[in-house]
Amino acid sequence: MNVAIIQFPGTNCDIDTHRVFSNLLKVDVSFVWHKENDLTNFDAVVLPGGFSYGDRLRAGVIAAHSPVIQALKNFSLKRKPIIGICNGFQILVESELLPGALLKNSNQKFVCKWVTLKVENNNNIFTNYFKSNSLIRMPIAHNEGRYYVDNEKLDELERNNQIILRYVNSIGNTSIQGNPNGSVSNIAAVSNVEGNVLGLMPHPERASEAILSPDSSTDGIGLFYSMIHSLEVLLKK
Amino acid sequence: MEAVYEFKIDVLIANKPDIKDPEGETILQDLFLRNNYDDVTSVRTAKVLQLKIKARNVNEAKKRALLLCDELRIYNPSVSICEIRSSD
Amino acid sequence: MSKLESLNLSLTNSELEYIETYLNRQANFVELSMMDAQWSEHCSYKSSKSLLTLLPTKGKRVLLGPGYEAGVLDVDNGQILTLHIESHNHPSAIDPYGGAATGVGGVLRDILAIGTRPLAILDSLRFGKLDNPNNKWLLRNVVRGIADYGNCVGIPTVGGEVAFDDCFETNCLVDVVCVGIGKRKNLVFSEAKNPGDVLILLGGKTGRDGIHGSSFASKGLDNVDSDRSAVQIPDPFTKKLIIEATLDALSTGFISGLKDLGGGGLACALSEVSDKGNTGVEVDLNRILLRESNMDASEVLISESQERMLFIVKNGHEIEISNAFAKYDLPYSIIGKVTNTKRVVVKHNGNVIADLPTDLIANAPLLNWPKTKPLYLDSDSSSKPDLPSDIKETILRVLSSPTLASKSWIFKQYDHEVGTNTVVKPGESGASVLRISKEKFIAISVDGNPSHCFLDPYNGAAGVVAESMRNIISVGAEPIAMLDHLQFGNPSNPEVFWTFNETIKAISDFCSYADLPCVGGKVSFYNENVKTNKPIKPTPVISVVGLIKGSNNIRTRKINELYPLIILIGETFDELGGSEYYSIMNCSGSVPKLNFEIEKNTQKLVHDAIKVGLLGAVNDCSKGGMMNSLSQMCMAGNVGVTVDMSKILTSCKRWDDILFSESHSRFIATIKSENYTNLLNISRNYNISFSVIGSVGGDELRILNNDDLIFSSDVNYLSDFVYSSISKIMDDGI
Repeated sequence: MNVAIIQFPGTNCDIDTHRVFSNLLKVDVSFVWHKENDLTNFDAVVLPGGFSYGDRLRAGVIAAHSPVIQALKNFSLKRKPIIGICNGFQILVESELLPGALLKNSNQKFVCKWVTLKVENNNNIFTNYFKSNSLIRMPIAHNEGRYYVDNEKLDELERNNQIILRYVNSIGNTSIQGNPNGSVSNIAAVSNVEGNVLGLMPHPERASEAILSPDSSTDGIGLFYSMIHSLEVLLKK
Repeated sequence: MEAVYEFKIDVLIANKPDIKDPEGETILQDLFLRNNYDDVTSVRTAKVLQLKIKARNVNEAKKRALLLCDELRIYNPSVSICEIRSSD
Repeated sequence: MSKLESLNLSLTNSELEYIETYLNRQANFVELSMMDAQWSEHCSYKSSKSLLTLLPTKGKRVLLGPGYEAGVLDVDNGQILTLHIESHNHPSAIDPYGGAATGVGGVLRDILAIGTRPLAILDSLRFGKLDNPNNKWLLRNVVRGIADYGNCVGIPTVGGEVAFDDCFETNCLVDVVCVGIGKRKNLVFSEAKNPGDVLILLGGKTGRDGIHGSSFASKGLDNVDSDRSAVQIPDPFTKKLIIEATLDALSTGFISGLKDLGGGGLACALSEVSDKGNTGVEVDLNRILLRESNMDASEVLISESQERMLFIVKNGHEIEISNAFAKYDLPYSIIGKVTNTKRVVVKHNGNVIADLPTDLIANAPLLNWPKTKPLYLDSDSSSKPDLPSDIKETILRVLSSPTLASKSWIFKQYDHEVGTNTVVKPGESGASVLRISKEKFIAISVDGNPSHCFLDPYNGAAGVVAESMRNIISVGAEPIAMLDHLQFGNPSNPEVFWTFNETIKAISDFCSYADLPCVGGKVSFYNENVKTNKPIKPTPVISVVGLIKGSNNIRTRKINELYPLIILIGETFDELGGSEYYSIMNCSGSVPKLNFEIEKNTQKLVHDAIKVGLLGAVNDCSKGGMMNSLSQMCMAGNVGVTVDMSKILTSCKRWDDILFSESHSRFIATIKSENYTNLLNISRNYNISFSVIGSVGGDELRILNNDDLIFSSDVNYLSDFVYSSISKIMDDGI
């Protein structure tokens, strides 16, 4: 089992993400520089958070033209798993591997805080570890996290069960205060139609150790664990 | 009473020309030149505010826009320039 | 206009004479520009150097003290911690966004230049009061500048302080602390020690940014527009690439020395590396990549264009180093070499245009300003307020003061989680705690108190050190070193210089007593209103770093019912001069006195009590008195308390004196009742008293006086309506 973590100029959360796989999950993991164009030897790819190209012009847009993105598209065609976290989500959206756009937060400021999320769809390799509708906790830290799709596309996402996580308040209901950035339909994470590509704005790698969580939770690691476990089952076949 | 019209005025805020524009530099180097658009020789970024201002004539509208920008500190004169253009 | 003014140089006549005598000729314009930059107060510390030698700098963990890029501490297992503090006061007043952002850039560069990876940032900000829209503008943009920069480079801004006072109306203070982590074997210094080594300049192209920036910092703020070239544009993306490229280059082993280019640009960098290495340097300006055409030689030398590092590379190994740079597509050029001439030589277009002995350019003649004790210090004015009749209204008014209020409007804009090492987060205590290895943690705090320092420079300054140490103790750490940032008005004002002297004496005295070495710091003079020459209040800002072994020793303010008894350690005195309460009531009095022995023993008591597991939550008492300290604990734990004022150890008679006094050497903590006796025994060893003042529980913060309820407030009300004052003020407008 070999996981790739892609690094772009300006990526910041690569080491944090690497640590979860190597130290906590004990899985082989390698950094892949954005100039590489071959991902065939890997079983899963993670695009970590950060500020690729300083978020210049628009978050993720310059990175979406990197050589590694073509390899990533081929990787996705083979239905292998890809997770895009925060800036990684922005890059996946700009690369058109995921639908929608990520706009500036509605309060026009960077927001760093812990949020509650509801698992809307746990019939997915990234969330099958969680019970349906369970509430999980993770921090967000972003400037451009407002997810947007038009109404027609939104209906399509609902129909295809592509909405994986939603922002909710502390008791599990969607609300204005529970939505930290104004995302349409409180969407925090989406997948592609086939379900092998996941993009999320919250940072699961920052919610994987009790000592780092304000309430000692470790829901973040559940996401990675789901993916690794599903892969192991698949690879055995 | 004199007639008052509504004028479309664009306010452009950019870094002063001899001040560095890191965002423009990155877009040029890492997006355009890297993807073979080497006929582009320079990129500078600006922010545009599209205003509609009620005034008797376009010059008055432009003057008003400039006053607004200066008084409300829409731009910081030690770093940026502010260009007022009529967009009608 | 004098000839010097027309050349835009700040060198004094006596400095010019000194130069001419030393060289036995007149210096040319390029040489003068270089010395003007290097001899500015900001780069040379000519007004403060001799006094700064008073500070204690030795300690069992100190590997490197002041005078280098950063202080270096041994934190065991081959790990080192580096720390540095920077300020960008003058630039931030004109361009708060760019000034604050490049302030962050500057402190990161120093931590990087010594060979370590930056780990965390803290900021200490001071502005005039927020009812003036200009101060709102400054706060908004300074915070945005720090946020944009720190977030983009991926280094967490984990804490700090923000305070408001009229004296900062025209002179805001923007201080940034950075701590770095690395391995002892990878330490590198800013010295050109081997003649023959090659000089490589990495990073952004050189332009006219910040020209006269460091001599600008050494003057008062003047006509805004004419200082336009002193503005510096932040580029955190390039900085991120430089961090990675530098650490990669260092791992090759072929770097002999490293220096970041900050104040005074290349001129200062060259003079410092040749001085530290006791060698000479020779550079060719034609090799430097320029962003603008028609720059003259002196502009190239003193430009403060950001994101540039000077690498001193072992001869013959340029290729390995340039490969490290090429990965990140960073521009660089080989600009010169290290010589054995002990001179700084600059060539341009084939000619030598500057040739100065290193000893001359690197060592500005020191200044010894006259000192006079300010007259107001001898006047014995004190005025107690009338005892307020509405207790609740008064308490809520004090607690909602922006200096005491929650800073969440600010720290929510900072990514404080990146790096996955932030264990005690902003708002959870008076210090931040970061993990540096499996069961090893560091704590950092930054504090200042200009109100105390103005009324009593000695006790005020020593008190700031004590407060900063108490914040470290409160999270369970052992203080191991400190940084000082001394911010004053014009040193040529004898009252200012007298106060500066007192401040250093106080800090030295207490740090020596407390075994707390100073490993670095900065001095920022000329913080005064240019029109009235009124200086800011003396503002020494102190940052203390501490070490914690074992996660079970970490503490926060979060109270809970597992540790139900509340204790107040230490005595409360009637010394409300300079307190938040008196500042709101417009009254005066004497400033809290620091009793060195009691402070030291109290800190030891709390540290030991935490170690043996007796204390649950811990918080120090300082600004806003015990009332503020208690409220912070309730809000952090989201639970109420009931406290009986009559149980507090004090000779004060008035409720406002008791609740708002800012006496030193006090902590509030929670314990289990079964541990009371144990704690009492330990406290007797240190001769420190404490009393049980109340219990945790309920939804309200209640204060009783014996059986009379004199104050109660719902904890949620406190967080949503009282402590939210900054959010309300800032979110109210653009």
